[in-house]
Amino acid sequence: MSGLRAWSARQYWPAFFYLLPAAVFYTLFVLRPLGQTAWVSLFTWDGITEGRWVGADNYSALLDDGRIPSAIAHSLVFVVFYAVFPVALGLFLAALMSRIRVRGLSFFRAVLFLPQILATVVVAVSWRWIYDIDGPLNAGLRAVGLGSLARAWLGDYDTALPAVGIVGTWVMYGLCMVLFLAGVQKIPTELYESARLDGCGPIREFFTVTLPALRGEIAIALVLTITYALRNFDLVWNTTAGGPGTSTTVPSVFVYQGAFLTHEVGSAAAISVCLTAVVLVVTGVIMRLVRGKEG
Amino acid sequence: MPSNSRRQTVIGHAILAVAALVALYPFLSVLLLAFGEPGTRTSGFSIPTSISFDNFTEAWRRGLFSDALTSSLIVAAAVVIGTIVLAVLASYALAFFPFPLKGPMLGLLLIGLVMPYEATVIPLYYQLKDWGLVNTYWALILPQIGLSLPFAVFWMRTFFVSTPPALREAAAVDGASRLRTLRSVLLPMATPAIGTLATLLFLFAWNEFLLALVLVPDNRSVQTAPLALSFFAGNRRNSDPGVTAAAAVLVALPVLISYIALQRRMISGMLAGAVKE
Amino acid sequence: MKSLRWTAVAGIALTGILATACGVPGAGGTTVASDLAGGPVTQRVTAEDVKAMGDTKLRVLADAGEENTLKALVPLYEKKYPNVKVEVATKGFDDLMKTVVNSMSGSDAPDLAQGNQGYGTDGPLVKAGLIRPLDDVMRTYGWENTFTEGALKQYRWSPDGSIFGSGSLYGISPATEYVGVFYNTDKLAKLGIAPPQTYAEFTAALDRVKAAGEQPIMLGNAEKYPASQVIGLVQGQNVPSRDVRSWISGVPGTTVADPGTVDAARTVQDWAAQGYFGPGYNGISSDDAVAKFGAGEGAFLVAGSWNAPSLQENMNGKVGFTLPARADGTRATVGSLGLGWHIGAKTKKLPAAVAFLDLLMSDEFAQTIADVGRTPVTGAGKVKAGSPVVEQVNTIGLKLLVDDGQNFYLDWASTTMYDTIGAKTQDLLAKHTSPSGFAKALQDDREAFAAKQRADRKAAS
Repeated sequence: MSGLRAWSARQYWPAFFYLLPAAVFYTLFVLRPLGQTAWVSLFTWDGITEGRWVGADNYSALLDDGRIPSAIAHSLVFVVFYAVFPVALGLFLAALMSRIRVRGLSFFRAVLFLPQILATVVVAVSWRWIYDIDGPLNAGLRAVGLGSLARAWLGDYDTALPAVGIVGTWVMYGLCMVLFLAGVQKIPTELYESARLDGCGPIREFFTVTLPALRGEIAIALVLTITYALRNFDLVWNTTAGGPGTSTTVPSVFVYQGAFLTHEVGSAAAISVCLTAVVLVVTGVIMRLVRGKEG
Repeated sequence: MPSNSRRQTVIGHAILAVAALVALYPFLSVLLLAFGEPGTRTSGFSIPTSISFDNFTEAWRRGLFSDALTSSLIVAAAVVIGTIVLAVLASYALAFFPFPLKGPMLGLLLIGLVMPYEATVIPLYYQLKDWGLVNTYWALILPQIGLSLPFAVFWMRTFFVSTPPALREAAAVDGASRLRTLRSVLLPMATPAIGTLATLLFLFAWNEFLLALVLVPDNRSVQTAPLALSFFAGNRRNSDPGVTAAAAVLVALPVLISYIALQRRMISGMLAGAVKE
Repeated sequence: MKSLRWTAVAGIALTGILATACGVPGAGGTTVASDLAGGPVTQRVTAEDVKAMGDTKLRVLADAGEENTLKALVPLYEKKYPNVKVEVATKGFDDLMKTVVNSMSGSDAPDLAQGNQGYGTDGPLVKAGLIRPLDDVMRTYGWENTFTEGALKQYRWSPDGSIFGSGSLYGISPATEYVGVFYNTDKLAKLGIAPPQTYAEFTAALDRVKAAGEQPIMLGNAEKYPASQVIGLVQGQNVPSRDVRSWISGVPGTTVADPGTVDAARTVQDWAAQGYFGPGYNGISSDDAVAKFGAGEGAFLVAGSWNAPSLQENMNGKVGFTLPARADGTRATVGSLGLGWHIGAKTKKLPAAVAFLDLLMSDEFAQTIADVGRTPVTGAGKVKAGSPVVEQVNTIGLKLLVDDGQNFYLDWASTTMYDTIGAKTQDLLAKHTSPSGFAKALQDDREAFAAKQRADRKAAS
């Protein structure tokens, strides 16, 4: 009954006046369309003419759709490239930097952060060029005598998925490095000194001092990067459009195609709802795993 | 020991330098393409022998960038101001006032933060059409304020929670109202955090593409810069990679400039906010 | 971690509350217009008719490829009809396809807009009653005399948008576009190869270029669709145009898994296997392929006729154009008239819109269309091209119409075909699927679409 008492307690009411403007905006422009998306997912709807109620058919069709399992598999690969690699790279650098003072930190931060601020189209244009058959990557390979490896990286069935993945690594690694570098600089030097007095080598020092101290940063980095990886659409669309064949398709590509190209808004909405649920669960699990001990 | 740490310093900085170069290179390659002659294509590592602005003038003229950049500026400014006002008020309440249903409210905000909104755009389009807002600035500003709120609220709430309670207690002892406490005690302290938030929101609003594409489909006078870019990138009949690159640079330039000007504050602020969250 | 549990609770509650508040999506939003917007057009629109509308503006939504055409047309139009101000919005093709259906459903929809033929875009526009049938305009202005009936079929639909290729005319374009073969004149001369006129000569030329150690065909297939146009070019040699178009229209009982199409797929797969397309074609964008060809890579480029002006410029005229003829001397290839111009079903400015189409379709304007490097069907065959290669494009383009050899685009056949054909073509070229597997995948896609259409019709009745 405490909830009820809380409702009636006068002192709580002013809070709602502060919340009201934001709540109105959020409800009208985010929650309402989101609720409608969930509602639409129960219809066959082309986005224009009157829809037809199909209940859960759009969802059961997803289970039968042969494209979905491979798309999910690709998404998982992207999680490795967009989240695991950047975090690992960032931690590696953080470990290296933990004992020294970084000169020109603000310069490095600025440059490392650059990929985050460029529009995806720009990122895609530049990476398509780098991976081009005549592009810098292949030119470099030929220059060092590895010309036999040269290929159109985004157009090859074996390399397209990792190639798009590396673009994601590129977008994200700077963010992780910057996050962890800042975190490391805040660790009290006494901790390192006492670790050294205990005779810790660099590796043990990393695991006993640096890693635990960075737990908060790691959680943030993982949530940001994994969310990005699972929602990732425009990077794939602008580099390979899901090809070659279907070797780089991800679920959000189907959301986009259904909503805008094939006029299957109901089924696109169903995928979208599932995707939102998955991202929420994954985000929650990470938070719990990484930060659970902090309460 | 000293030589060891010296070696570490050198290796560490070398790796940082490589990482920075890798971060920079793709953007430089777009710049090279944009400054090349129209219709040409650089190859390998070649450096163009001459610098040409033809791609830029072509992109500027055909993309109607003077209008598009103005529109982008109006939209981004409105989104930033609107979001910050709403987020400051809401996060103040969420940070300090006890009230029921706080958990569900934060949960709802989390949904907005992680949902893929591609499919949501279609219902949103019909909603705005019913209200007669499609093809107006409002169709860009209002939904973007809504979508920016979760991030902004979490951000400001983190900041408010981190302020020393003693300050608020002192204000309460002086008999200041809640609104007064916010205005005269907390807001002056929050200027750096708000500045950083503003920069980030500006960046998001500036790069927003899909909403703009769908919600202002055919009113050229309110179309934003990323739409002008898509005119080149999605053109199947007469497109030129150099002109597309130049258009991309034109779109990125204002963000880049404001980023360089504000980067120190922005990143440190972002880290502070993120870490505490 | 309470917030996660709360999120789940909140999400479910939210869905319930908000969902019950809305009705059936799209209900009442649009109705099929039973009356023709502005009444039937029985006489040519005169300057007086337009003037009677008073000062007004005409809103036009077009593909970016029309930029130069409109830049010439709009001043002419505004001079002829000074009370009308034309407002043009252009979009890149991909973005136009994404947005045109929504745009036309708006309460203040553009008066004129371009869609794309086939079930992907024009189908939904007709189905939702967003564009006006133009049969009356066609008869008044005699378009049926300018175009063959075979060509006009690409704009014809049943009133509910479910049957493509017959019924009322919903769009028109003065220009024709098709896929053909550009060649590097210097390169062919150096290798002693005469520009191929027939398909046999073309394949022989490819072999000779390859034997000489050069890349026969420049191909950029990163967007997935360009290689399907190569298959379409070969398909044009093997399969009667009528059959290809019937299949695209969705005529029951037709199949694309026929020997001719499978053979075309096999031919192109062989070309890929023998390295005729050079390395890395799936990683090269079509723009880049055109630029590379322009810079002297590859002897041939299989591409749209619309590339002629830019290639002429970039190659200083060292470029020719051909479309290999079949054994009987006729030609057939992937091609169609331009993206159809549609009049909005709700337009209140019909006289101004019809006057716009009249000017666009007029013989006087045909030369201007040619001047911007396109191929007008209008102009009674009297237009002069600006360069030899554009001249070749125009001559063959008109011949193609006479031969009734426009095969349309296979991706018009269903809403998902564009995606299917692109992915399957890449699979085919990489030998991830067989020629017959390729054809079957296309057939399956169309049959799934037909089944969906039947379900929709059944539910509607």
